[in-house]
Amino acid sequence: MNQALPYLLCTLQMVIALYCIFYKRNLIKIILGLMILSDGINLLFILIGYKFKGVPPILHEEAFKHGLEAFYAAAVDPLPQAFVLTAIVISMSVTAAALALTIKIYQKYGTLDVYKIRRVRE
Amino acid sequence: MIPAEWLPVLCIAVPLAAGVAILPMEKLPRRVPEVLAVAAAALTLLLSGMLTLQVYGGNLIVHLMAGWKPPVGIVLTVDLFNAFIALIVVFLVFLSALFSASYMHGETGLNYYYSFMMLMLGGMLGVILTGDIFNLFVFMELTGISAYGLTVFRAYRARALEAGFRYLILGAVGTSLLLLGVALLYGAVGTVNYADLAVRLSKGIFLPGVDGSLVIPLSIMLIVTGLGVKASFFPLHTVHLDATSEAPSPVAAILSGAETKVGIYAICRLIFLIVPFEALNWPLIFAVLSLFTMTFGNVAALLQEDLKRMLAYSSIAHIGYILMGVAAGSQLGVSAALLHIFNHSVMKGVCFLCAGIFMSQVGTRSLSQLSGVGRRLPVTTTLLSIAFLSLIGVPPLSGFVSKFLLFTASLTAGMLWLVLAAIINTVLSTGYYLRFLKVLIRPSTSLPREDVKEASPLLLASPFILTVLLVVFGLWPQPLLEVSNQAASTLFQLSKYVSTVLGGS
Repeated sequence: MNQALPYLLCTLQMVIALYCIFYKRNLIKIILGLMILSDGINLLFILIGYKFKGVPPILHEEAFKHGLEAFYAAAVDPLPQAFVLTAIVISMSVTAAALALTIKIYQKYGTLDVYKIRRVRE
Repeated sequence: MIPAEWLPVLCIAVPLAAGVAILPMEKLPRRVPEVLAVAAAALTLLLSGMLTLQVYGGNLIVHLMAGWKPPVGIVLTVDLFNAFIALIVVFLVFLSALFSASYMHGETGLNYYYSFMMLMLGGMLGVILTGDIFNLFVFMELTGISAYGLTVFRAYRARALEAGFRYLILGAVGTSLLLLGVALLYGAVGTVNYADLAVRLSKGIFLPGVDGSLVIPLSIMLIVTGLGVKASFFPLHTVHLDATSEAPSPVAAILSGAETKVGIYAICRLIFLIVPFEALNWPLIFAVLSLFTMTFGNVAALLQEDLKRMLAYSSIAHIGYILMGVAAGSQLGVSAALLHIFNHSVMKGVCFLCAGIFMSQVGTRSLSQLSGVGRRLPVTTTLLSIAFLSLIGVPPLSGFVSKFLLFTASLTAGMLWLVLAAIINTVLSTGYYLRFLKVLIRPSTSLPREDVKEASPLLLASPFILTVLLVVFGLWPQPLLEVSNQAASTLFQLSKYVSTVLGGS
C-alpha cells in the first residue's frame, strides 16, 4: 500500500475539521470540528511514530531473542504515544470548557446559531 | 536558601498549587482566596526575582525534571532572557491580583477567578521556563484554558460570553496548529528538546526518509502561527481583541500585558535559538508582519469610541513595534524588543487598570460619557495620561527609550522603510491618544455625576506603582538597558546553551 496514503487521510480529516469550525453555524458543530481537528493531529502524531509491522516498545524476553538492534529497528516510537495521551487529555478539557460555555450561551440566547449571537461587533 | 536549580520548578509549582488550592473555596469568605492569590503571586515574584539574580551575569540554570536527562527527559532551562520575561509577567500578574482584591468585590464566585488567575500565571511561567517544545504546547493550553475562563468570568454579560467563546474556539485552533507543527517537527527531527533540536537542525540531521527542506519550514510556519494567536499579530489579532476589551479590567491587563509577551517570547526563542535565522528569510517576514500589525492597530484605534477597545487595538499596534526589533534580528534589535516588552507590559497595565477604575467609579468606558472625568478623578486621569504619553513615546518617559532603540535597531538592519512607517504610525497614534486625553480632561460637562469620586488608595496603588516605574526608567534607563542587553546576548549564545543543557548526557 502507498505509504503516503495515511498521511493524506490525516490531512483530509484536518481540512474537514477546519471547514467545520469556520463554516458551520451551530456551536455544537463548531466544537465537534475542534475535536475532529485535534483527533486528526493526534492520529498524525501516532502515525509519525508508527512502523509498519512494528513491535511494541517494551523490553520483554521476546525482545532479546533477536538481539537489541533488531528490537530497536522493529519497535515503534513510544514517545509520540506519550505525547498524544497528554494531548488527548488537554483536548478533552478544552472541549469541556467549550461545552460549558455553550450551555451558558444557550441559556442566555435560546439559540446555538452563531449568526444570531453576534453582538460584540455592533 | 533554595538551591538554584529548584527555583524554576518552584516558580511554576507555587502558582499552580495555589490555583488548585483556591478552586474549592467557594463557601469561604472572599478574603481568603484573595489573600492566598496575592500571597502566592508575591511568593512567585520573590522566587522569579531570585531566579533573575541567579542567572544575571550569564549563568544558565538547567533543571532535570525527576532527574531524567535530556534529550528524552523534560528539562526547564533558564537564562537571563526568559528569567527577565518571567519577572515581567509575574510582576504584572501580582499587581493585577492586588488590584482585583479591591476591584472585584461586587462579584460572586471569586474563588474561580483567583484560581484561574493563578493557573494562568503557572501556565505562562511554564511556557517561559520550559526547555522543550512539547511542554511549551502543554503550558500554552493551560494558559489558554485559564484565559478563556477569566474572559467569561462575568458570564452574565452577553458580550463577555461571546468574546470568550470566540477566544476559546480560535485559541484552541491556534494551539492545535502549534501541536501540528510540533508533531511535524518531531517527525522530521526526532526530538522535542530545544537544545537537541538546535544541534540537529544546525547540522542538518534528520530522521531517515525525511526531506528536511520541506517539513521544517512548514512546521515552523505552523508553530509560529499557533504562537501568533497568543502574540496577536496582524492576521491573528481578532482572537485577542474581543477578549481584551470584554474581560474584566485586571484580566485585560494580564491578557494584553503578559500573555501576548509570552507568545512573542516563544517566537523569539524558536527563531533565534533553535532554528537558524537564515532558513526562511525571517527578517523580511517579520518586518512585513510588523508593518501590517502596527498600521492596522493604529488605524483601527483611531476609530474607537470605547476606552478599552482603543487600548486593545493600541496593544496590537505595539506588538507591531516589538516585532520591529525581532525583524532586525540583531542583538540590538532583540534587546530593544525586550525593553519594549517590559515597557508595554507596564504601560498597558496602567491603562487597563485605570480603565477599570473608570468602570468602577463612573460605570462606563465609552469616551463620550467619560467626558470631563479628569476633574472628578484627578489621580487616575494623571496616571492614565502619563501612560498615554509614554505609549506615544514622549521623551522623559520610559516608552521613548525603547521606541528610540527599536528605530535605531531597525535602521542598523537597513530597514529604512519600516522605520518611516513606524514614525508615521507614531504620529497616527498621537492623534487618538491626545483625542482621548483631551476629552478626559476637558472642562467639566454635565456628564459625570456629582457623586463620582476618586478611587480609594488601594485601587490606585497598583497603577501608581507601575507609573512610577515608567517615570523612573524613563529618567534612569541604564539598569534596564544593561539587563535587556545581557538578556538579548544570551539568546545568541547557542553553543553555550547547548553544552549546558546537553552537557552531562
